[in-house]
Amino acid sequence: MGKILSVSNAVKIFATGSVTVRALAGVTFDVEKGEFVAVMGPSGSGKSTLLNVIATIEPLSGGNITVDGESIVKRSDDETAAFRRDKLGFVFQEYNLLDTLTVAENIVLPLNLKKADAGHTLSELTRISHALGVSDQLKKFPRELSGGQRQRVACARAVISNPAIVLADEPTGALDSKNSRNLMELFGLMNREFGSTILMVTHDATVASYSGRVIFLKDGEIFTEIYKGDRSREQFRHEILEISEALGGEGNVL
Amino acid sequence: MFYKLAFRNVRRQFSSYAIYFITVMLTITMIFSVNNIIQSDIMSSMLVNYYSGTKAILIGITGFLALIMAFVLGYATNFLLKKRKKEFALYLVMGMTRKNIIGIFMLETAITFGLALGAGLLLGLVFYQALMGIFISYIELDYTLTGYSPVAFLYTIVTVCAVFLLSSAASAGYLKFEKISKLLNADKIAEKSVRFPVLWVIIAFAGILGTALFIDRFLAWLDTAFFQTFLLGGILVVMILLSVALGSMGLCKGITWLIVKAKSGRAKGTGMFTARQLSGSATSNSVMVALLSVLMSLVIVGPNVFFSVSSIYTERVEEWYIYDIHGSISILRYGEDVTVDQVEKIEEQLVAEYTEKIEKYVGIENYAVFNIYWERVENDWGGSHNTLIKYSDFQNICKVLNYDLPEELGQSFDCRCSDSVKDPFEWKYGILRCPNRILLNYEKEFKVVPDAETDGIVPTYGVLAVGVEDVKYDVRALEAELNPVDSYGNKEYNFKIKEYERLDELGGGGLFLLGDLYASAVFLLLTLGILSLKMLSMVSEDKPKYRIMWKLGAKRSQLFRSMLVQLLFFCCLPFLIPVFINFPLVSVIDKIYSGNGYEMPLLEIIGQLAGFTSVVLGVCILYLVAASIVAWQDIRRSLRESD
Ligand SMILES: Nc1ncnc2c1ncn2[C@@H]1O[C@H](COP(=O)(O)OP(=O)(O)OP(=O)(O)O)[C@@H](O)[C@H]1O
Ligand SMILES: [Mg+2]
Repeated sequence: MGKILSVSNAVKIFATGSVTVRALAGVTFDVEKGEFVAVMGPSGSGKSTLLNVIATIEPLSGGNITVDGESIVKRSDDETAAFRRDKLGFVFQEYNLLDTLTVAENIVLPLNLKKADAGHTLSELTRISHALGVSDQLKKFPRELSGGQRQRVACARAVISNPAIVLADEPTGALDSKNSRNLMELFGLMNREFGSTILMVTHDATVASYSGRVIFLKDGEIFTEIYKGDRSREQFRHEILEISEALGGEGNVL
Repeated sequence: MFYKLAFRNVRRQFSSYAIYFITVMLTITMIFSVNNIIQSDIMSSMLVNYYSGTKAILIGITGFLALIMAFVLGYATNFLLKKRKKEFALYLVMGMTRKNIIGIFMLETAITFGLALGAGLLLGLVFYQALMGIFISYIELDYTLTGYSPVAFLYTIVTVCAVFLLSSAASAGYLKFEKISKLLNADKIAEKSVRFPVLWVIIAFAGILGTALFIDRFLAWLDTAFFQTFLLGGILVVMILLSVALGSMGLCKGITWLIVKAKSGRAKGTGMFTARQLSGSATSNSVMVALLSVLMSLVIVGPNVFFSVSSIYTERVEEWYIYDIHGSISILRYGEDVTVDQVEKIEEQLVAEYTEKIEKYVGIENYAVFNIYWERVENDWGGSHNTLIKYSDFQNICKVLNYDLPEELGQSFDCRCSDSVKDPFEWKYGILRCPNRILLNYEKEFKVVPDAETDGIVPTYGVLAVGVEDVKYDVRALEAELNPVDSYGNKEYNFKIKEYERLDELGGGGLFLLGDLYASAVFLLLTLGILSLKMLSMVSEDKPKYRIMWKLGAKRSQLFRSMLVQLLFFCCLPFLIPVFINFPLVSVIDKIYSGNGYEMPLLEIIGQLAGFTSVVLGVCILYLVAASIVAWQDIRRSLRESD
């Protein structure tokens, strides 16, 4: 399978006043098509920053990132917007749904932005909302949903346009353990059924154990990365926990 | 510590406070300048001369301004409060007392208010000077303004502070009693979706139809029933305004619902987002939009109507007074027993006295003294009279007026006055048709007779008619001298000075025109102030939404368009209704002119309306551009800032 994401020597420096922070100090890794990768690491290690530079929400200070074979650095504003629209799906810790739009309208937003035709939009909406179990909620407004339902809607929105890669920053952050597990089942489903490539940040070893590979960040650099391989999820979770503890992370909450 | 916090807050929340500051400052400017005008000595001297009701009207205007001020200030304070609710809730959660946060908020608003008060008073002085300058030159008065009235100063500060305290008390009450959870979730309060959307669509159309219908009825009323039933006219005006308001509300609620419906399932790009943004803001603000639409209609209609009416009246003076100066020189009552000699002597004396008085102010070019004789006739219905005038007197009149008498007339002929006479005289069917008021108002038909025929008859009354040099002079002083106030304080109105009457009309009309222009300016500012508060707060509430759209891959240009559509939609009713109101207004003003016997070319009326409307619209557009820029900067900044 081909490389979908390639991060090479990515550097991000924040300069606020006299203080400069090296949030990313040269990060290099690749993600294959159809992979489900988790990113872990202590607070402040640069996980969110990594996701944001991939998403072109923050410009890169050095290095290069290619998505689907195209470099995303040094692009114009409209080009990065088009990139986000066409290649990316987003799931954030706080659901980031538009409260003025109905659930259905929220889900089809990426297709709207792509100017997809109405028939295609409707069939995709039906398919995705069924798969993610939100088909009964389509006419409601986000405020009428529970946190778990909202996160599912956000997932539906992230995958509906069939993006090259889905980025998720602590998607379970606001969910309880049961809903977290449900959401991870969903990610697994998105990964298997729709072939979505997923890059997800989490603090939670259990959540991370649903992925196929975990990248550990420390002080803006890759500390190590581990693959699940043929192991059971429980075994994988144990190894993740061990490394987290070594890194001084919070470890497991489930 | 709270001091510091309050100061820092004002600095940090600069943009919201700037809006608050500007709104309050401009309102104070308005109030202070109008108070200055009311208290100025020129106004009190004018009030003696003109309408006694004017002062009441002006005081009414200040009262109205104070009300508006209360409204704007309440609105502005509420705007600030709304932006800060969550922050205050957090302070509360962290353990500050309600007293503390009320203190902070009061201090913040008080600081800004104090600054705005100072700036508003300063600006008010300048505005007052400018306004009076325009007014004084309009009524052609030589007058230097004498400073500012301390009474106005005091009055302004008292009203303004009272209003401020009131609105502060209201927000303090709110902060004191509102639940913390409500405050915390203030920004999450759901936008209501439209209820009974179909009904609103119907109301929108009913409003539009109603406006057209009532305007049509109003025009018909102007044509036929103007002088009979003012009540009907008043009711029609109210109905028009109501229709405008209801139509705007219906459009807000109904049309946005239709847009959302149309977009549903078929939206491309940011269309659905834009539609929902529209429907949200239009629905929750429909009442305000309706109110602003009505206000803006008044902004356009008022000054145009007043201007037309007042220009008619100043024009009329030309017709009403045919002589530069004229007055009675008869001291005799009808039927009193005097001899012709006596009368002549008295008249001579009076003419000498009056011409001397006039010459003190302006050179006399020529004058005529003419005597009117009433010849009693008995007829079937009882007594009546023929009016006679000596041929030589009539010749003198013609000299003063610069009219040529037709040669073929001889010394005896009948005269009839008529409005329709264009050239000085028309000799037709054995009657000399003269311009109206040639023998003043009283005599429409008269006979010119050879001098000898009136020998020995005592004239009923005598008139002095004067033509003066065409220069500027102190008309008001001359008027005072010719029409003195007697020992009982009663003023004589014997002499009429055309120039004085013109200035009088100008002054009276000008006063109303000024008042109305002023009210229009206030309405306009009020509308723009409220719109700006509303638009900017709307945009700042929507910032997170724009950011989400941006993250999802919407281009900046798309977002900008979305925002612009939202702002435009929001102002388009208050801005467009004043444009459309011009169409019926052309007819109304045309009818005002023609109803008063004036043929005003339609093109000129349209020019007047177009000129005025484009000024108002220009202000609005300037303003919209400024608001869009500020709003877009606000959104852009939020796009750039990272998570
Ligand atoms: N906009 C910014 N300006 C300045 N510094 C920033 C900015 N965003 C992040 N940083 C800094 O960069 C470093 C990495 O931040 P980042 O948000 O990527 O951490 P993280 O791994 O996501 O942490 P957490 O697990 O707490 O979310 C931190 O030291 C942070 O202070
Ligand atoms: Mg983070």
